[in-house]
Amino acid sequence: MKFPYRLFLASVFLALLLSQNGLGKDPFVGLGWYFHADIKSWTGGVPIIVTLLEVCLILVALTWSVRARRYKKTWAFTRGTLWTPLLAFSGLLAVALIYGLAGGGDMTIALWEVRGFLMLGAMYCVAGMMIHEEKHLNQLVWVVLIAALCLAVENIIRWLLYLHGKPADDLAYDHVDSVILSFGLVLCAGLLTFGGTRRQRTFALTAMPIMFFAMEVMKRRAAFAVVFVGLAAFLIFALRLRPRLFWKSVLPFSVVAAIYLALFWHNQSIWGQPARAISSIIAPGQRDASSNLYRTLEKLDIIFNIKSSPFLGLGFGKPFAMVVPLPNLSFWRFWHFTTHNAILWVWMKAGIFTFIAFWWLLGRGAYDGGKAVEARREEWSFVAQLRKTMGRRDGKWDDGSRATGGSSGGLTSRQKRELMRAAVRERATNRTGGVRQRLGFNVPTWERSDDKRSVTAKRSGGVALLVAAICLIPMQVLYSYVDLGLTSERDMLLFGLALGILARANYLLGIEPAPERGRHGRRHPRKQEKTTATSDEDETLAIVRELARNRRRPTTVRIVEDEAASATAARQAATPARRTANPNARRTYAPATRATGAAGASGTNAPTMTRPRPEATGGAQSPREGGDSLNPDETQDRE
Amino acid sequence: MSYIMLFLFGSIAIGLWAKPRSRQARLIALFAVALVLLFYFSPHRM
Repeated sequence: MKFPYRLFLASVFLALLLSQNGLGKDPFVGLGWYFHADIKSWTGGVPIIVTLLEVCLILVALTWSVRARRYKKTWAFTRGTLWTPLLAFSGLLAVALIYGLAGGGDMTIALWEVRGFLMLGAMYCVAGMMIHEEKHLNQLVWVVLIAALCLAVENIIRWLLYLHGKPADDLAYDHVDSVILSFGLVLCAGLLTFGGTRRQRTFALTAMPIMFFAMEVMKRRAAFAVVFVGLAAFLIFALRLRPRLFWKSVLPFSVVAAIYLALFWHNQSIWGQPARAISSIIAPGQRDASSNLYRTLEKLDIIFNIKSSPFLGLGFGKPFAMVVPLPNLSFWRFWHFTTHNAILWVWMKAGIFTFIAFWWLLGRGAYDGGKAVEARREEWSFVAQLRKTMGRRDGKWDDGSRATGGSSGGLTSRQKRELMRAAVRERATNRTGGVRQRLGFNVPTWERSDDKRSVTAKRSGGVALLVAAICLIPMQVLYSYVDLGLTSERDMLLFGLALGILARANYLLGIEPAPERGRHGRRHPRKQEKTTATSDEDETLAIVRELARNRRRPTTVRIVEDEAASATAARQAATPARRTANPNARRTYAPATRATGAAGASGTNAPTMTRPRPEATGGAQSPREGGDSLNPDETQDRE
Repeated sequence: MSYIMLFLFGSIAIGLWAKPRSRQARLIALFAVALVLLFYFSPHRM
């Protein structure tokens, strides 16, 4: 499956890098035109009405399906949690398309209008075919970072060489560049805040100022507004995942920002450009005022057209009524068909039910992404509590059978090791010249280390990408509210990819097992390990498996003092979730963060987990986690 | 626009802070309906 996957990454990279339109003098823009325009338009008559980008994605899907059929069980398309809203939205769009064409709409215009949404759905599906592990998320991080940085550099070069450092008009740059650069900025901030590999963070630190400067060069007000909304969403995650850092940094930053804005509000130098970006939004100049006026007038037209047909909409391919005359944009072919406010345009064209499905899709995407991040946070909390509860002394697991008065609650060292296996993740270390897979404690991504003696799981930018994908939803909505967006294939490619990731976040982050599938190119996929305990198996391992089986339900782990009854009691504590008849009864639990860490005098301790957590055995994690045992002598606790 | 942002940020916040409930996903769909109905009956809020 290497070819389709690499083609997929290359397609995403080129789509983000190559501008769809822009200054004609720039040869790079011409290159982008070949990639984004219909093949028919540059082959001179060959009737192929798809773009090179679309050809690449079709090729990805075809090669994947052929190879997947060959390797049988590798035929694994994961629908994701947004499948139903996406199907509803797509179905209603199709109805609006047919309705528009049946009512005399222009087919070419209609197909161009829905092309962006087709790309959105296609990318959602392709993401389900291609992205299966956290490793893939890290590779996507690189693709987005490098593409965004190259795009920023290209825009700066265009400004220097072809515009001679002067401000240009609206059409000198592709408007979608604003969203891609903003997304790149939020991703960089995510990597620096929520962790990534060492190289990713170094790259992010270097790329951030270049991307910001490129946005300033482009002088798009919408770009800065999009960044501010993205950062507002980003701060919510910072508050939840890293509250100490949030309170330490937000207040000082706010004070510094306020002083800066006060000093540079009217400053026209290079140092005053960020302040100018904000001041132009609040107090627009002549050019900004005319832009605002256009959108205000256009909105009146939209409301009129919505009121004229609120339920079915106008249908795609049909012009909207300009009851309020708009400034002349007759050079733009879609002037009478597509409004700059692409959000309300959905309602105007496709009706109220499509508009509801649209918000259902976006709201569900934001919710599912937030829930996955929270599940990961609780998982880290849970592991921290387990480690604290079971403790270690003198490099060995604290054994309750010894007279240590320990916090172990009577589990033997072996039982503790086995229990902790549920809480570790794969880590690749380069020892003795080769890469060996080892297990490391599952700690927050920003606390992980690449050091050889480190016992943490390996570093990853997966959470950062997930947070950036969630932030992209309000960013995209704001952008589309003022500057098209939903009709752009390039924009919808990024948005569809983000939704595709969010819909599968649970298993991409290892919170729940991936749907059954084979590994790349393997003829005989590894069989799922049995999750049923047998009489021969270790008792504690059975506890872990019980926990894993109940991963969808809140589970309480109780470790009791009585050594003889410890394993049985822990198992019983894990199983009521399955046995309880009333599902609501299972939901009465305390959040993991509120669980007490140290054992009390009674010797009972109850670290709790309120969200799904990774399986110890079976599923996608099992081959990795089962590949090596956790040797306490090798895993020195950093504490 | 402010209502749209309230809806989106609210969806994120529910995912991050609320305890998991199966009906939350349905709640998001209900919020979407409420948002559109708000626009329908008060177009000036769009």
